[in-house]
Amino acid sequence: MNDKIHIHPLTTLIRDAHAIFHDMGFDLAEGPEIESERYNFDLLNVPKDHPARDMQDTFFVAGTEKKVLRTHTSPVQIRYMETHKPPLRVIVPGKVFRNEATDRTHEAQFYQIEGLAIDTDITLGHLKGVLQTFISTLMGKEVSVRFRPSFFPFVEPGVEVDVSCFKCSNNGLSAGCSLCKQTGWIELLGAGMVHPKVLAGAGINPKVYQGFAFGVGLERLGMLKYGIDDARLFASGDLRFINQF
Amino acid sequence: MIVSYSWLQSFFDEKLPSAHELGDTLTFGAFEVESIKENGNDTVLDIDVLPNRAHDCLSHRGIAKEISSLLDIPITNDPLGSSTPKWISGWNDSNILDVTVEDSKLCRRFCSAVIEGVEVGDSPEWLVKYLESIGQKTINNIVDATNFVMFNIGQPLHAFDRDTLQQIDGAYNITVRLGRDGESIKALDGEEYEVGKNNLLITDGNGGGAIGIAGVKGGASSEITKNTKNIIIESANFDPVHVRKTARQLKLRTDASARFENEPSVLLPPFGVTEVVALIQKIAGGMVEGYVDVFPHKQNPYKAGVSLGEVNNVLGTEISDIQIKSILDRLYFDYEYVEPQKDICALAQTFEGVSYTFGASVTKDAPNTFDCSSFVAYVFAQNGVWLPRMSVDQYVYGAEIKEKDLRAGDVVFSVGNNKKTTHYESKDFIQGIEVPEGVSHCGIYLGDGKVIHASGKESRGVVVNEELKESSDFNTVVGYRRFFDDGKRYVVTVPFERGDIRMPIDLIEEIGRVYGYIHIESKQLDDLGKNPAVHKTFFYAEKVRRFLSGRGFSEVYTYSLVDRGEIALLNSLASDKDHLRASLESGLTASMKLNIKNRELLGVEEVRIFEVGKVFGKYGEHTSLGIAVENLENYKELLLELSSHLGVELPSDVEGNIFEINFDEIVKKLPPPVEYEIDKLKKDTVVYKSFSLYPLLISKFL
Repeated sequence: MNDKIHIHPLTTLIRDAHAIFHDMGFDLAEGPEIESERYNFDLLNVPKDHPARDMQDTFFVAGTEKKVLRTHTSPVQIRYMETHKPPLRVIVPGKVFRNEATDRTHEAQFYQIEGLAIDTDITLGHLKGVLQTFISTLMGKEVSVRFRPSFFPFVEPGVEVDVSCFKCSNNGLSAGCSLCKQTGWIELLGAGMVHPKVLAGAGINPKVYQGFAFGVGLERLGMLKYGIDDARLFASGDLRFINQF
Repeated sequence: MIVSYSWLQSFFDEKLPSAHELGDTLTFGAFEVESIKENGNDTVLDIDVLPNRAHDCLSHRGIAKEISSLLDIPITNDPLGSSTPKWISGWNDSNILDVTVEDSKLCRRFCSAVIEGVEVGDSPEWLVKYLESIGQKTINNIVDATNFVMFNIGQPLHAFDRDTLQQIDGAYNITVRLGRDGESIKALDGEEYEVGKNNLLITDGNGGGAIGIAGVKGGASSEITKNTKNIIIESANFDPVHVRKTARQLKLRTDASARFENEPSVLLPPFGVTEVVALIQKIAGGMVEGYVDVFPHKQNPYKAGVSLGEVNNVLGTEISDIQIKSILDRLYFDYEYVEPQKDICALAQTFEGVSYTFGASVTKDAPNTFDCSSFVAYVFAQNGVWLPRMSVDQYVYGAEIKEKDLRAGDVVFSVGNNKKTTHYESKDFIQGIEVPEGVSHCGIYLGDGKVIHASGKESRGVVVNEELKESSDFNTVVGYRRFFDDGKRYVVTVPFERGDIRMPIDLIEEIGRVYGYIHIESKQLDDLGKNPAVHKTFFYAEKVRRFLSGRGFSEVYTYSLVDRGEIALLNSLASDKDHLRASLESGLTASMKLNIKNRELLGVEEVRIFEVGKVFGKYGEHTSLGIAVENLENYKELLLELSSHLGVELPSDVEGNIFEINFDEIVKKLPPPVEYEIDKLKKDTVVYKSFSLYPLLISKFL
């Protein structure tokens, strides 16, 4: 066991995701974990005092200027759009924070990967295709992707993305199993077409440009891929966990 | 939102599909249905209505309308079906009730009706069943009626016992005003709430005391009791932010506040009054004495437009005109199919001579008065072309057109001498975009050298139609812009309750979800023709990870939230997690301790770990690299090797078994990388095996 090389599953997931998206022409970007409300909310079309702010429980940082621990990697979308001209493609892996009680599937800190692609002609169909390639390659199994309507203030249309169950479905047919709660589908991530107000706020004319964005929790992907039963293990620092990988 | 299946059925003559089929319909076309449960003779669906539709779909009618659109089953009993509620015709102005609204920004509308001679008692069985099926308690027929109408159409309502209010000369007054310092109110829940100048109250204008916390909860003093004979109905609309703040401050989130904070339509309150009065008269009797409607700021219906090309270009579909028309019909949207170029010019000319008011609103003042940019925005909006409100933003938004290509329907922008009305950068649209030439005025080009515009010049002050070359408002033209492509557009008159439909993208979403996202075909992105840039920090962090994992180190990720540090959190769930880590030390120390204990089980001679992660100080945040070992002997050598591997000198005179360094500083010293090392993805996946948290105890028994 000693001479085996161990790679933390989060590192492997980020590395693999990067490899897959690199092939599709995506840059990689990072951003600060302490964010201003402007980048974490305002510029993402989540106005102050709007019920949409309740969708994410937020940690506030003490100090003279009002700051938050970023609740998603989406602020880096804005930072990237402000400094790059379209066409642009980027993924953003990183740590995010939510002020929630922790349990087997929830952590106050976790990792996300954000994806963003902007050009004159990027459609919801491209989003479907890109996610299908990403998830199929990452999981090592060809999956189908389906969209359900949802709402995230920074995208419109907003969709919830399900993929066919990794365990029990084959060529679109599903037997149903405990992983997918007998439905044949697994709810995986949120996505949509970047809202015109978000583009405009980041300095990109929405009359000319459009594109998609998505965000996926890495712990959730890891739990599904490796059969990990407790999200808290990822940050446990426990080699009984890490050295299995 | 809990929804009753049999209640939903009441909107339709046609038999609805089963509750489970409805669940799927809603989940794939509108909202996620979280659960479906039997409840007595009824079935209830728990529907996750998100903030974009909470203004109209926290109601059975809202959900029924969605079902109707998605399944193409007509709603036959729609309480909001007529454009104006029935009450206007049948009732008189109240002779005994007066309503005073002190701030019409906070209370946008206040509708009221006085009903005399009601008989308070139990509700009929059907009503009790409906309310109980969605988890509501029955109280009495009057209160139940107000609750029913709220859950039916989404308008929160309240009923006051009129005779608890003070009467002066036979008349009552309700005043909607902000609270005063030291004021308090005992609410219907029996609790005393301290309210102040940040809380809007419903008060007895004659007696002076509070009888309700606006939009949140009614007061105990005017509660409906079994002795109540005469009642006053409140069906109002309040500022959503104000209600939200008050509900938060008082920690009193109610069914009413949850609706008001999502901004239901100001046109909904009269429907609330009509519906509740009809129901009360049916189940509790009584006569309507009269009604009151305080509604100072009327609103134009909103228009939103989209073209076939725009729909398909966003969705990636090949939807046809016939399909769009059918979907718009299913959504109950009234629409016109217009040729914007022709219709914009024609409409603009009908406003010749209309007065000019600087800062006139597009939604409230138009078409009675305009300023230059509200004139353009209004005329375009009526033809389904969304524009920003301000002229400088319109200039930034539109596609640039050369003078020689100018055609009817384009917009002409000019700059004048007045610095006050000239803007040099985009204001609300793309903030920070500079317009050095300046923009102060705009007008619609009609062709043949003519322009029509709302002129603010004192000598004119109206919409004028004149020769562009001779107009003193266009002495210095700065540019021409075009806002729509050739071809026809669908212009929807937005149903009043749909506060979410304003821009083309809002219509595209509606069309997409009714069409069905399931029909969207996957497409791959085109090759961009260039390699992605190499991210320097990520590149070197990967290099360190590969180096260390090759030497028996395991990478750990530890918590950023710890018990001490330089940066504190204002709100934290636990006192041992109320700071951000200033270094990786505590996480690495804890991890070492845990793993040394399990060394034997892990089968390693020495525990070696590292972490790459953000740490936080008063100065800001940086990426830190931490390395921890048990044996110090090989330590120095390892750091020397890592130094030469990276090509940068690392300090090696370290003490203790944890080495930590500012990784951002290291990266700064390194050359920009050229190309990533990218591994092929591994084919076989590790299958994780869970382990006991108490290995020592267990191993004794093995």
